[in-house]
Amino acid sequence: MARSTKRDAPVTDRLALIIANRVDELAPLADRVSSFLGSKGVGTEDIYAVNLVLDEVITNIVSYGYPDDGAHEIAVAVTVDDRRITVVVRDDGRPFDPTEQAPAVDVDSDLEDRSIGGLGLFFVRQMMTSVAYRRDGTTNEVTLVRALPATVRG
Amino acid sequence: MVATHEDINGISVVKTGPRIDSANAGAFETVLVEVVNDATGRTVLDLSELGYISSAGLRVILLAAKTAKKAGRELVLCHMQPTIREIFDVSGFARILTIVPTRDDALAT
Repeated sequence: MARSTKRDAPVTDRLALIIANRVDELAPLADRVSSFLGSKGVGTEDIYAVNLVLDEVITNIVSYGYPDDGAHEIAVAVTVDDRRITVVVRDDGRPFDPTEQAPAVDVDSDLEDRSIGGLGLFFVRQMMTSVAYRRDGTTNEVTLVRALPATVRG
Repeated sequence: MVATHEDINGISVVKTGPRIDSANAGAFETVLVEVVNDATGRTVLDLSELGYISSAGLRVILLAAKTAKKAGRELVLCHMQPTIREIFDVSGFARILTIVPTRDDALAT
């Protein structure tokens, strides 16, 4: 179950959580992220985008990151200010760079020709202003940034 | 519940729950594809409760639509919320799927 790495302070600008490498962690994670971002005045479209991107990134980690199928921890941190939402996901799975895996997605295909794959990372690229990856020793670190409209206050 | 199924005047109606993600997309596929395969007429997918869907869920809907089309039948989506419509637009799915406003529209012949 998602839990804070520290006690929530009253006016925290950073949400930091550790979750297990299981996709049933996604719904509780989304609840925590929605509450946090909502309390910062972030709108529903931006909240949906952040949750979707977290979902797609974490689903990939769970699906491809651990050949041993063992229990692992994934660290998620979300910060927001008046300019942007920044999401950092860290895992200790095998090297996986989501910025590199870029299968072409043809949004103009007809139904018969439309292929099933590639949508997750496509959404990540569409929804985020920037996506950066680095490998730090045994850790994958993905940093995703979504710029906010000027009217949102942090 | 990921989805429920009922038959209305010979039309199969599948109604989703509030969320489809990689945790329940498998179960959703089991329900939807079986309904599409067993249907004699069109299948209606009622999205009125759906507040969140990820690529895993979209993949299931695409698969069901392709399956229906190959069998010469329709899959019709209705009651799509605006945030969900945005996802269908960004992905290009809105262009290739049949989407109507209400269940009545979907059931009308």
